[in-house]
Amino acid sequence: MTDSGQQGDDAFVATLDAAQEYLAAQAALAEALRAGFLSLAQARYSMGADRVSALQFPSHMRASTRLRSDGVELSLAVADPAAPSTSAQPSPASSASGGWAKADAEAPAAAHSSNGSDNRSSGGGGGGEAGQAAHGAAIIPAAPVAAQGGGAAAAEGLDAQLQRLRLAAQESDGILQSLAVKYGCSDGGGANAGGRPDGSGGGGGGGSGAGEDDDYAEVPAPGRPLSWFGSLVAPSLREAEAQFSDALSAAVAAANAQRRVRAGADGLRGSVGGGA
Amino acid sequence: MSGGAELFALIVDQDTATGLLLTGVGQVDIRKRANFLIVDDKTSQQQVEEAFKDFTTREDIAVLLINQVIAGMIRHLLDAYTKPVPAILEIPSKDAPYDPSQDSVLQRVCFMFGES
Repeated sequence: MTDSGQQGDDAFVATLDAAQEYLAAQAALAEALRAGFLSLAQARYSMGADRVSALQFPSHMRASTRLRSDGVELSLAVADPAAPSTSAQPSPASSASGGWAKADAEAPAAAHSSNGSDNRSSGGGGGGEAGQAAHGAAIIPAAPVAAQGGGAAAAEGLDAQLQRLRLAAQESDGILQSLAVKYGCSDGGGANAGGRPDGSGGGGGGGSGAGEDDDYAEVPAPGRPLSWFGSLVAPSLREAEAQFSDALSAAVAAANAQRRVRAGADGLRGSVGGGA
Repeated sequence: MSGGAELFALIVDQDTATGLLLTGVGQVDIRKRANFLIVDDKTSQQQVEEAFKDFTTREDIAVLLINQVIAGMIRHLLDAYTKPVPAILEIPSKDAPYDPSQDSVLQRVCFMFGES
């Protein structure tokens, strides 16, 4: 068998294998989408059709889920939605394995230096700095301004910001205590509203807000697209988010398989053309 | 965003858009330049074609997700599309399941096997 024939056979087999992977990824994608549509329909039923629709989309949004290419394959890269665009460095996630890795939180704050004026106005900068201190948590809603959907949070006091920090750092009591010490806020929540952005004073008490934590347990982290649909969303909407995330992972796998199909087809075309 | 991270692009119906945007793939910048087009009954074929051409010429888009039903509206553009990036992925919608026989990529491969 000539070399061109052998190359043609190899390209043929490679293309078939890639096509099989592509179909398998499409099947997984379809299954995940089907589950997501069902959950979305359930969410619409419980929350109302208008509350779960394009009407809730903000006018400005920044993608927290992107793709990273190493030249051969694509992979999902998830960034903290509250992180500023200048410093956010998403960490690559595994693609075909379906990983939905969350990037480590980095300076979430000043979110959007484009909204810096709002952040600096009334203690927002303090919240931004506080967010920087909360490094390492899974999702840090520390940015005083929601990543998407407006600057309503800019007007909230330090206590509200501390409560949001508590949501994300429920398991990091040490971080909360350090923040409370830094800004002179009461860790119990609401007692001391006069926190100084420069961190004067110490009044950081121990975390006695366990009850308040439970009250806010269902509040999605600001900056996540889930927050577009309200502060309290139906569990089915959260399920839909997870299922569409799985669909996205399957889509990335399908895109990688498609690349291999195209490459195999191009190789096959070249070998057929060369042999002709 | 630095580091070469690229975006998804969407040409999908509202349900699919709502679900996918939940995952954080949506981007609308200050100039109202979006990486998605929500297709409904009032969307014309020309709008879909313009969106397809825009998304396939942008350098910051790596994968374009398009409902297969909508892809059927611009099948002539998909069949003529040969660039590797961005990858065009036809996905099912809520009302229409995925049909491999209509996928442009698989059709091209089948045609090529016929040639060889």
